[in-house]
Amino acid sequence: MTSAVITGMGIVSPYGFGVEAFRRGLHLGRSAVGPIQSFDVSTSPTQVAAEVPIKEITTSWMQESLSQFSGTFSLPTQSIPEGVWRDRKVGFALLAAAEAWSNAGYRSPDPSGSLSLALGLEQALLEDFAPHFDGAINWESAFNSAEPGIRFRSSADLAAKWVNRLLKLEGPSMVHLSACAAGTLAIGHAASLIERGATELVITGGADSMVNPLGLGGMSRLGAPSPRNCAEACRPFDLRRDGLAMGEGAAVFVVESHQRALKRGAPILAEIAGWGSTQDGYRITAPRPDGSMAARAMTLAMEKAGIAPQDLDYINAHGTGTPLNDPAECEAIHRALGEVAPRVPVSSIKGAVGHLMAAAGAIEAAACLIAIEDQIIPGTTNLQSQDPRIPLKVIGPEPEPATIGHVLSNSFGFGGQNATIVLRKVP
Amino acid sequence: MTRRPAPTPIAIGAAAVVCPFGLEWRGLFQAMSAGPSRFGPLPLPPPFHQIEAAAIDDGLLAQSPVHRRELKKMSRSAHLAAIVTHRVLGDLDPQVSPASMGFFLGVGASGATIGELTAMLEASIDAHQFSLKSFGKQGLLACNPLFAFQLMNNFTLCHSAIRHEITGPNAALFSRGGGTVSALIEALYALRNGDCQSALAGGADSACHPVTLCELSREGFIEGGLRPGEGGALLSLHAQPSGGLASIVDASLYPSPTHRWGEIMEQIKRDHLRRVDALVLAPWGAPSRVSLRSVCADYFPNTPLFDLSLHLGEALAATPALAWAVGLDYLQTHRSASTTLVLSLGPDGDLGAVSLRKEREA
Repeated sequence: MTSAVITGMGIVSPYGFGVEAFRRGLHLGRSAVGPIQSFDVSTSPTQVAAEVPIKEITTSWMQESLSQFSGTFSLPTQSIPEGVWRDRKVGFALLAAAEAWSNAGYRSPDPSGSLSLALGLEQALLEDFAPHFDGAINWESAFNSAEPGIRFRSSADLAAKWVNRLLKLEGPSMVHLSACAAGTLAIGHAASLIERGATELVITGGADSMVNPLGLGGMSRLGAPSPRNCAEACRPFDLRRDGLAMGEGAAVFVVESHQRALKRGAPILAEIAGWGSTQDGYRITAPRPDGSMAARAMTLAMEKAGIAPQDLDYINAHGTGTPLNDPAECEAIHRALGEVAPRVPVSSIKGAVGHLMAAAGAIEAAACLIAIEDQIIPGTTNLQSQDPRIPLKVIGPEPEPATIGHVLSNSFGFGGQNATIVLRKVP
Repeated sequence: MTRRPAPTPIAIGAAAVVCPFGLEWRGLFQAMSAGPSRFGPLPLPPPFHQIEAAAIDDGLLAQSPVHRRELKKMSRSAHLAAIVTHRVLGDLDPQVSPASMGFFLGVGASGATIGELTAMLEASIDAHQFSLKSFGKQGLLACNPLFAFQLMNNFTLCHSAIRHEITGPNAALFSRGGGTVSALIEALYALRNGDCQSALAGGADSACHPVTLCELSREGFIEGGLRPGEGGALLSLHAQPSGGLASIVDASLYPSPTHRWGEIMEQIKRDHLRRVDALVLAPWGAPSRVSLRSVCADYFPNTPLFDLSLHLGEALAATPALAWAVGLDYLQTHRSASTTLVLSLGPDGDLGAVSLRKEREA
């Protein structure tokens, strides 16, 4: 049985484009949450988010951005459907994949590669309905109208298809549609594919943007975002936490077997040592308050990694900053770690970069890899006064140096899907 | 190409379907082979009513175990999944607890009800222009506050998990033609790896949603002869090589097979079954049908062949799972048959292969 290692990482985050922009942002611990720029939110109940700093993606901008990465390939511009960039996560996924591929040291395509990618909801393009609406949708005209490539709704696997085309992957392609747990599930799945010998190379991670009218509006209707329209909107584990901040972006990783990585002299960022998934099976609007099923996912991941709770050096929490999530996660950590729980450093980066939804687990895995690489635990931006009902060793807003060998990262999805991975520093 | 560990057969403990032919998987093969066609005009406004489709009758859905209040939070796909989950768990051995079961589902596109969408648009569109200001002020308030739960693709899985408190390992996977097969592969792996002792695997989806129909049309599928369908199917699987209705020998997914059909077919024969008594095909659209039939004629000559999509239309993520159920039914109703091979082929070239073997042969 072989182990799975991460040899390349690419990031598009609210801090900007690339791993280094993300690293700088994390080390500064600043919040990237601010007034939404990409569309008019003047009447929206939620007016802030952590947006990737580009207002509109175009084909020429994508071509130029991709050209900076060696070992990647130009997009077949002529076959790009009209309007594809309206679904922002497609562009984010492509750029992150190109950077990961390049950073992993690849200079040519490897068709044997598989894809296991977490993607968010299809983007609903409400404006497309307007010309066909007169008290009701005139489906006759909508159905028979001119045929741009993307209309009404982008397809769920659009970003995956374009990553496959960019990197010329020919292995099985799997898209995880598991809301906020999807990124972590995809990474665990990639490691599992390597371990079971199904493939030696997987591109994994996640991309999402729900910073669009229906995405933001739908979450607002649920009451998930903080009502504060300011940079301090999301305050994980804080006494005054009152909701999440939406974010967008992508993090993509090249995962391969340890032997293959050693053979080609690839940089090894970490081993994906363990993973586990469970479901709460509880309610659609709330996590299981006793944290028992989230704890089970954590325990499974630690068992798989062959470690005990005291071996953990850092927990990257799901830490949404919502009233219900954070105490349930605290319960889960206590259940899974027992008496060790109050001593293991915990932080959440969602106060800084927002909640990237399907990509949350991926961007947080990237934060864990940087923590391992730099031996610095990212801070919990906006944490001012820790909720006394959350007895955990939560790192404050400032990052903290530490000796980090094993990191555990949690992701819990709307609907109750729980996923945990354990990353291990490779000597 | 995927290399898999030597497969240990996995027992099928129960099955459930919902499709235009009803709620019974037993007899489904016969019903589809000999019964009247379920194709007819879609019960939707123009122009969709001109599309020939296999939609599930409202009367059938009226037998649903899902309360009307719950339905407001569900997409049609989630509703179909809830029906088959309820039924398959009802048929389980009482000693099997759903609590720790794995749950692996092929899911489709998001599919909110058109009523919600219309209400939102009506409050947000002024003079054929979508107004973000109106949307923020009135549009959002015009729809059900839990509208987002209809939209989230993973809720096709999660509603059922919540209804039955299913808490084991899980995945909601998507790819056109391949996601549901991937879900089964993950279920089999979880069982063989000891991650769970029992698991549900299948898919639920509807191609009869207006936005989906627009997409299918734009890509040329409707004009190319694709007939939309809908449904759901689940198998309960158990980590034991014997017992149950039949066993799954293996499941595998082969991407982009067109340029290596021969290699793939030889691999299927080697890894899955040396002898195939019947083939169940689930092609996604006419070009896939032509490819699949052609290759089966070459590699499995004289083997009885049943084309599921000809009878049920294209039910997207549900289609492969419905085909497994038909393969299972075939084994149950044909005494001389001991093996079936189910081949599904998506429009992007993903070939799924699932082999079933009758218990006495296992």
